[in-house]
Amino acid sequence: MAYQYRLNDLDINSDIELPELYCSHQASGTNSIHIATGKTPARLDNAHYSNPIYSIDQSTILLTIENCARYLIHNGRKIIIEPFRQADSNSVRNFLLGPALSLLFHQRKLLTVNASAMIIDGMGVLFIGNSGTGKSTMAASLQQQGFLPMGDTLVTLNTGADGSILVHSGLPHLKLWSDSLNALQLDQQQLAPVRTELNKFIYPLKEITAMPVPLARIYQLTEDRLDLDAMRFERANPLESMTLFSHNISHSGLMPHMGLTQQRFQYASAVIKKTPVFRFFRPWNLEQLKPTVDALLQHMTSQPEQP
Amino acid sequence: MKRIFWLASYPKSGNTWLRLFLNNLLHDNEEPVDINDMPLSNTIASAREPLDQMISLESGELFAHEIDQLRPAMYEAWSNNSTCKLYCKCHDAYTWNSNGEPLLSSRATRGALYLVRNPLDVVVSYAHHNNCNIDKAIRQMANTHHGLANSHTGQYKQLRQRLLSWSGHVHSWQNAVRIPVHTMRYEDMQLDTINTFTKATRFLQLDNNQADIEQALEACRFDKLREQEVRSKRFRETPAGAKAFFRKGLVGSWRESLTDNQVCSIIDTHGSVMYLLGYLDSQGNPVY
Repeated sequence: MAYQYRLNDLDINSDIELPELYCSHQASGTNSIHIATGKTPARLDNAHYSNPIYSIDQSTILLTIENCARYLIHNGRKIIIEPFRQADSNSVRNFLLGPALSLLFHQRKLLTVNASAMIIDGMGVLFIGNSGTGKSTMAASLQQQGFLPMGDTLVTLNTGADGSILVHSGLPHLKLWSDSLNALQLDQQQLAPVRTELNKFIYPLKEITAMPVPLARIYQLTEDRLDLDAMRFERANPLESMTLFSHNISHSGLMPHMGLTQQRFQYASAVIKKTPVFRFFRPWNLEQLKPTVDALLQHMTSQPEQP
Repeated sequence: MKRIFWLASYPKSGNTWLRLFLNNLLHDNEEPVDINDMPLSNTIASAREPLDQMISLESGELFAHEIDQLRPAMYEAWSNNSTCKLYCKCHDAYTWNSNGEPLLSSRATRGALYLVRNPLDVVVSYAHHNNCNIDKAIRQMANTHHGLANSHTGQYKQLRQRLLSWSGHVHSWQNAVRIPVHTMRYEDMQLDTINTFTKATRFLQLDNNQADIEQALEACRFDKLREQEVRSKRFRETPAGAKAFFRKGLVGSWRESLTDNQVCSIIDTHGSVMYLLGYLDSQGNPVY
């Protein structure tokens, strides 16, 4: 194998260089993931579910990103990439190291969440929310306050031996739009774009923990459409928590087609049983980042009230 | 199955009024519908979240032209997964994606109610809506590449919408021959209200009687909507930075706001379409 990496206790052998991952110098185990380039089918003949992007059969998922590449994700063990002509390599890696690996993790029954994660006072905190609601920007702001981010891509959760929910770091970077980088006064000149010609950049994290930490809280980042300046926290009740969290499991909508409906319910109920979920209504305005972070840090030191 | 009726318009052309009318028409309570809690027709064609759910990807990491390739399938899924007719707001011009498919899939579309308003009035309202000056709004409405949610440095909550120029928007919908389109002028909604809304109701395949229609119109009279907006402090669809959503809503209020040069500029750019829609007389003078 040309390149060896390690992520979430998993060894990855890759035919292509993946500078976004940490190199590994250990011999890979038998349970490793193999990433190769090669021919892939245009569709899966025995697919039981298809849409313009995904085709799913018993053991394989075909992910097709137009103008970029096809990814054949097989049995939690192997991903074959077929880049399309003129695809840029940043794009090919972006969809490999995001959705393709996340789907492979699902095949391995690993719970991946669409969240940015932080360590605050030794405990894990997740920020969830719809795409574009500022999860990564929040993580970068907190890093500037001295807290340690755990990434915003391929963050995974599992249950520890003592029954606690553990957060595992994702990829050692945050993905930030140029607007956010500017607001945070971070220089984007040296950063690689997520995709060539896209003004969203990979901001590397110099320090990221390899050790999982117990999950303490989950915050859903949102705004009050009736009062855009509102800044308040509301604890979600168990049913709301279940819904909010379930929606933020990676590929949540595809899990039923992967035979993982029961798994999704079990994942989500285990997490919300142990973890308070808060809605954080705040102005989604980059000029308001400082007071937003201040309010959040103050809330984190408080005892969670009952829903 | 074709279940979607698009409630389509260039912005500030009466779309919200139409949707509030439909909400009042189709709900059972005596009380007018809360402007911030419309039970029906709340979906907009450019909503990002449903697309993200369908594709299980961060759509912000796709380029607008790539998203356009996925949008027809999204509307087909909306249509196929629904058991009833859907009334969906839409500000997009009627355009095709690079696969040669209409963005608003014909396989999902039952019809489109296209609202149009005198551009002399639109420009004043659009400037207020975007918190910009009138000259900028005039330039935007003349720009054939104008769109909404079109940033390249951040991510909008909505998907990119190509508006084209104001004239281009009108042309695009008049040329949408693959789907039934019923065009409705804002001026007729104001000046021949019951007749205009009754025709719209019939086009949308609703069988409500005249009394229902009159009651729904009463519930969404402009002064009542503005009163609700003041009482609730904010209408949820008001863009950040805009002071109020329901401002004047009058026909011909441009006469108090536009300079002669601004009027000439708009007529120079959009005169031929304005004439076809009855906004200019045969001498080229504004009708309203």
